[in-house]
Amino acid sequence: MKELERVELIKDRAEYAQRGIKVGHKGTVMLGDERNGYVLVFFDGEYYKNKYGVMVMREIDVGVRVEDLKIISDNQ
Amino acid sequence: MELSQANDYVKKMFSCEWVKWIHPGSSPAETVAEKKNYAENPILNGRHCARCLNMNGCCFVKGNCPENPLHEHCHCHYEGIGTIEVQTRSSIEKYTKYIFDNEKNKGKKELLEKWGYSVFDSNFLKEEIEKQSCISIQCGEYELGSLDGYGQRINVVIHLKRKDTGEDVTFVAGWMVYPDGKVFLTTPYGDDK
Repeated sequence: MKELERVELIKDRAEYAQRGIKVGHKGTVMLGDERNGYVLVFFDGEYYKNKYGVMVMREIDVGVRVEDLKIISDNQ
Repeated sequence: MELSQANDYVKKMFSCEWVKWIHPGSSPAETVAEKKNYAENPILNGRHCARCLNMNGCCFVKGNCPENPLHEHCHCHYEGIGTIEVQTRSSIEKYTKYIFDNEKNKGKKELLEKWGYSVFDSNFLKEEIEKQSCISIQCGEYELGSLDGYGQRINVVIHLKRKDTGEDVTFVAGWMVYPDGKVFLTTPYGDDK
């Protein structure tokens, strides 16, 4: 799995649910170097206005098993 | 950096005591074959969890390290190692194809552009964030982030000057801890500070 590819979670697990992530959530692979079967995904969260007045998305960093992800297109 | 500030950093660096996470019986996975083996290990025999395998060999400043043990029957422990040389690494694509990418930036591009930075500043931002983070981590000035099957993340405060006004701005960069003092950038902009 390549760094910065867009992905979607296709399998629920307790370890993802703890972070509020479930099937259908989309994110970006931020470290594609596979570590013991996992890659690091930053899942899309809510937009918020930061202290500089810009709407920025809060991302949720979760280690995800490679087999629980499918690659989607960049604009999804 | 002023001389007095540099002196303070040097004092902090030498006063930091480092510890290494040890998972007995296995070395940190460095090669593709080792990573593959470790990937299959927890699934095949259920004896080693991915968190512990990924923490093996990772180094932290004593007093600012993840709690040990991580779980029941965990046989991992810390060993004192004195000091280490922190090595920060990041890819230019985190700037050119993420922060400044039209689809993937999620607001970060507008923020950086508001401060006067563009994709043409990617090399500067990469080197500045690597440099500041290296010094901060070496001094123990980091916050522990998430710890899961991929490993331990840490957060470092970055200071930049706006290009237009010269005003200081601060934000948090995210890093992933690897064995023996190596840290890799997860995100140049993780959150406000």
